[in-house]
Amino acid sequence: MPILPRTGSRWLSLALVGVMPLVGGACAADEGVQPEPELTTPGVFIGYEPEDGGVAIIRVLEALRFQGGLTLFVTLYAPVAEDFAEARELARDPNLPVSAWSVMMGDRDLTNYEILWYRSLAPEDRDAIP
Amino acid sequence: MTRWAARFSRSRLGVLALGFTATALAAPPEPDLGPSVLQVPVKEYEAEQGILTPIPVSIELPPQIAAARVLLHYRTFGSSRWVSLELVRQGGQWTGAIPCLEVSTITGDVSYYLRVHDVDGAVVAYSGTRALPYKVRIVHDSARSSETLDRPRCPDPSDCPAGLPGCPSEEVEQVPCKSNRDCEGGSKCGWRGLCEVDHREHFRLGLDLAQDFGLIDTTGACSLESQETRGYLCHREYDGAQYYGTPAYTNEPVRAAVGPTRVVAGFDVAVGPDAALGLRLGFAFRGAGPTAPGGIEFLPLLIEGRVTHWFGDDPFEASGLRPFAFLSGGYAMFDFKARTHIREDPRTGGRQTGNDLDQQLEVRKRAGDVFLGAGAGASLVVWKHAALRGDVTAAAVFPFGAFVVTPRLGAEVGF
Repeated sequence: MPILPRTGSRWLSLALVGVMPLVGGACAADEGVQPEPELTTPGVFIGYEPEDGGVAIIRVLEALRFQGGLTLFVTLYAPVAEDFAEARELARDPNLPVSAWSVMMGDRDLTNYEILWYRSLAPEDRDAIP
Repeated sequence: MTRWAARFSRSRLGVLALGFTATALAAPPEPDLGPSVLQVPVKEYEAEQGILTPIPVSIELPPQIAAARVLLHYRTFGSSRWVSLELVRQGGQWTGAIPCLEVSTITGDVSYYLRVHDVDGAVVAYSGTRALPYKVRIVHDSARSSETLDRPRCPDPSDCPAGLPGCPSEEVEQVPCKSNRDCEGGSKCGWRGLCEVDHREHFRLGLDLAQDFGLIDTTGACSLESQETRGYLCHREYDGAQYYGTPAYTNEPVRAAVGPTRVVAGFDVAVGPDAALGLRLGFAFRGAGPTAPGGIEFLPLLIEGRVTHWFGDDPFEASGLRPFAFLSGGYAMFDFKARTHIREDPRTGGRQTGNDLDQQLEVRKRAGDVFLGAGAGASLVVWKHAALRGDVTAAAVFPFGAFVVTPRLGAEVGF
């Protein structure tokens, strides 16, 4: 499921249409397609289904293409969610317990995955990149 | 006598015709009211009339005097009140009479003088003054001379409708004027061109408490460009750090925001029957936000000028509820605080660490420094000249834009 940007305007906007020119309100047509994080985006949280069940959560630190394949350096988190919806909620927690700071994975290990969330990398995250 | 008076006094024009006129015994002070049009020989100072007998008055004016109205002002013996009557034009003369019922049965002097008004109400000529009026001695029948004994007495007062000769005349309640010099007895020339004793509040001093509310545009508010050039300052809600990430462009609604709280002192001066000019000086004691690095510090000063229109009949009389509307403008800074949503652009690699894909930010806008607005309110007199006042202003702020709504509550004193 893509992460949809919030674009809905509130009642206040409707009530103050006449005021919009004064404060410089924007039109819906101004907004283009919102950028989505991808599997190779540093900082993206990925949920995938390991062989032992559940949904594991990892975070991509760096992605390298090597000999036609994709190598990912990821942080592995301790909680295992029951499904992707729960994993999506867990991924938003900035204090999610870490299981392993830096693990190397291939994209072939991610047979069934979903992009859960994105958070720009912190310095300690970058320090974990080998 | 003025040169005008000298010109007319001995001529065919400048004669006041009275059957029994008296005039001043000493040289009167000469008000700057145009010529004195009366020249009466000294021997005619003495005049008398019987009780219950009207005192006829007539005057013939030079044609050079653009007379529109001639008012006779008189005071009966023992009274402190001057009554004004309007003389009627009859050909080249203006005539009238102090009614016999006003003369009544009280003996003593009746004082009077005349003033000639032009179409604008200005006094252009006069005869006698309030300080030195003509005097007619009212005498009892037993003391009357043969000359005055045969003059007609008042009819039965019950048969005497107002306005008939010899009967009570229609009083001139409001004396026309053009400037204060046309008015007497402590009255001033009012805005309606009539002499009146002015009880209006021409000045007001007030003290208000004002709370600013704003509408601010939060679309693109937290980009670096906006924070550097449009007066915005954004902080992450979860850790309070200033946001300097790379937001994607998203449409965000106009946000309502709370602004500074100010104490505002005001001074208004009436400039017309229903208009006033005002000055406001305010100080923001609450609501100033942080200043962005390198930004301009918040100046808590408010300077506002306003033009107010007051509704109602004679609104500067201190009574009741007085609504008003106004235009205003001036200088002020407005710090507004609201929340906004930011979507981080993941393609840029993350200029700032720890930014979620979607997050809420605290956004502050420092709007100003010039505002133009309009508003309305009301003032309610609660005690003598003290009133409670409330109004609401809606203003556009630029160049750092915002739409500001400011309710104010306070008290004022008129004087």
